[in-house]
Amino acid sequence: MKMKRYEAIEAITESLKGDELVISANGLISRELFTIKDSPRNFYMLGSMGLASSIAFGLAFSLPNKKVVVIDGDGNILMNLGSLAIIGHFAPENLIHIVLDNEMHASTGGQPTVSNTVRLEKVAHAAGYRTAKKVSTSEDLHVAVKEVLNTTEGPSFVLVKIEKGEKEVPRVSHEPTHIKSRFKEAMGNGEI
Amino acid sequence: MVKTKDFCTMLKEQGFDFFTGVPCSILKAVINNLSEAPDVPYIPATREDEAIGIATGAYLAGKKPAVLMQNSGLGNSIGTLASLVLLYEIPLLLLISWRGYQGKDAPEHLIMGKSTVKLLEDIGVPTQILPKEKAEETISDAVKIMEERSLPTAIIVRRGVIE
Repeated sequence: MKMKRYEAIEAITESLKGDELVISANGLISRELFTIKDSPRNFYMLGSMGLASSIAFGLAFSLPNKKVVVIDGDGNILMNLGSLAIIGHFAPENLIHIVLDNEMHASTGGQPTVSNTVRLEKVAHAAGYRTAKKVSTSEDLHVAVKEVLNTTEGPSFVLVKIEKGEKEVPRVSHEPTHIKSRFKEAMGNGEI
Repeated sequence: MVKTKDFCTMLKEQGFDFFTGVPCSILKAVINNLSEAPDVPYIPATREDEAIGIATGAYLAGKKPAVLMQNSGLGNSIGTLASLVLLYEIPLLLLISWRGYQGKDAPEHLIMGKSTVKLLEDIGVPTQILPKEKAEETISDAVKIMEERSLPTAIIVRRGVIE
């Protein structure tokens, strides 16, 4: 059975070890991650739609010994397919790219995207990601995240087919500059 | 005039250690130099806003990044500067070439050429125009803005100023 986005983000956070750096795409993805498990290791994007994977790439390329997880959406990655090319080309093995795909722009009212026909996992594979798989159940998502965390065969791409449906969640209450400074501080303090 | 090699050395001596961007003929020698430099990465982004995203990630990782682009690409970047770089106060150096300077250029550059500096000032990016002499001071002033105010800052490069 397909998950809703909230359940998918729960499955991801349950499967992470806790020492990863997480970049979450703007809109409901960041808001739900914030609600499920706030952490200084989360960089919540508030604006700049499309760029979660670019930020994650700059981070992963510069910190090759840290696992960097990006929680992205179908609308987000379709806006910046060039990012798949750059990630595939430079192939940082520590980058894990998870795309929550509900085939719509859910944060703005459910307008359809084109990911119902565009095979994003195949685009990622063609771009050079070392592994690219598609899952749609909570059990498979748990397994997939644990697998990609333990591989050195990155970058990895996990497409998660989810269904429509939101919870009432608050906005991210941290100031943007606080999100940034605590993210950097967590690294400086050796917490990461 | 400042020589390309000297300009790139100045950037590195001022601590810039991560470069990304989209090419422009005015900046071609600088980008070629940085791309071939063994001591710093240059990531050839697919778009200018992507380059800014990549540079932001590098900054979060502790790097001191610079983004190179043509002013036509500033149009692609305004939303990202506003809702990422200025919002989170990410200090990036933007090296932006000035096509359409003084209304003399190919037609596609004239409108952006007229508005480049105004657009940057309007959204709150401190902007300097690289003078023909004293490039080093311009770069160190930019670093000061980045470090003291945690702001992105732009240096605009006219044709012929870096040789």
